[in-house]
Amino acid sequence: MNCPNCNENLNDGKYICRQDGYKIEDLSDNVIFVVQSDTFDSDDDEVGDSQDAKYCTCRYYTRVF
Amino acid sequence: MPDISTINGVAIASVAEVNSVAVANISTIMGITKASAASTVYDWDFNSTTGTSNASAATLPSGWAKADSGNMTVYGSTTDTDIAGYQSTRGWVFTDGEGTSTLTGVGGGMAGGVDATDGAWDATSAAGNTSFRYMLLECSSIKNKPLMMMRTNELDFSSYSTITLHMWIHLYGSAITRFGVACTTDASSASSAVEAGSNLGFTGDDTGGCTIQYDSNGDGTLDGSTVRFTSQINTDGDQYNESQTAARKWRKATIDLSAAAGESSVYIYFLGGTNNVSTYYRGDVSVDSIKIVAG
Repeated sequence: MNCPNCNENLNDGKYICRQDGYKIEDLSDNVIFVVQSDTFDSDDDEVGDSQDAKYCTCRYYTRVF
Repeated sequence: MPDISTINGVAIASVAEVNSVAVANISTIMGITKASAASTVYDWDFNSTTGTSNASAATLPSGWAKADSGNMTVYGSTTDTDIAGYQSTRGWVFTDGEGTSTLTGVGGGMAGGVDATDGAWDATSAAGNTSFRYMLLECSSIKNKPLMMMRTNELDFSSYSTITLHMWIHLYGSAITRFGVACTTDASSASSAVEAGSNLGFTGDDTGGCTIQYDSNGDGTLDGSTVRFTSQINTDGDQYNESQTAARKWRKATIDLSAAAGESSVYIYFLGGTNNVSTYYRGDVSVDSIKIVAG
């Protein structure tokens, strides 16, 4: 599957809620880019919630079910 | 108030002429005011009236107000839930783009506006497009906050006999807790004690309020009816770039507000809430492209 914006191959990663916002990370938990900054309490149930995702370094991403 | 809806038992909409005069050109018949054709008297698409920030209550449509600091009555002596510190970014807010929490929310704001005939969403990008804003019950961070409301500005129904609210709704998420609508004559109460017409005010968390006719399965027909939604009706929909299937599209809903006809000072309340489960944040409710048609 290629990126619809730049036609590069999409990478496997995850869409995840962190304490400072929603991010795309690679499979080693490295932040690729921030989707939306936000602020959550450290004990918020949503922090750490994630979905598999495919992403491109151009900031395109799609969540995978 | 308009009084004539039929002439000799025939619906006035089906009568072309009276005494050789076109009905369209007649304002009164034997001194009685003819019911005017229904038209849109109020509408809100939220696109130019709610700022541009994501998930924000900083800018509300003119005259609208939030109830999430214990500042209004929901029913009886029960007030809305105080979401202390989160009033500007959680609960009822305005936004655009896809839902940010996983497995809840919409793909984007309604694409077709207040006169839409289909629930397709704007698919510009995940971040959205400020030309397609919508009202959102943002549930993140506010676990177990059961009663939050947004209300309209003051509306005048004194000149109408038939009044219908049209809106598009989207309820996707395993933790959808509640969504209901009330219509009262009080700027700070959605209670049945001040309802604008029979059965239009709330009587409990999940009782009372307007009867909402809605499209339960995305086939375009208003085949469902309820005073309170307490679970999802959409089964998918939180990504802008997915195919626009019935499961994911916005759903049409209408409310007959004719019981409020004649009232000159009316407010419409939208009620939502969150529950106490660990995935409480999957309870987003979205509302867009509201119009009130009256005649």
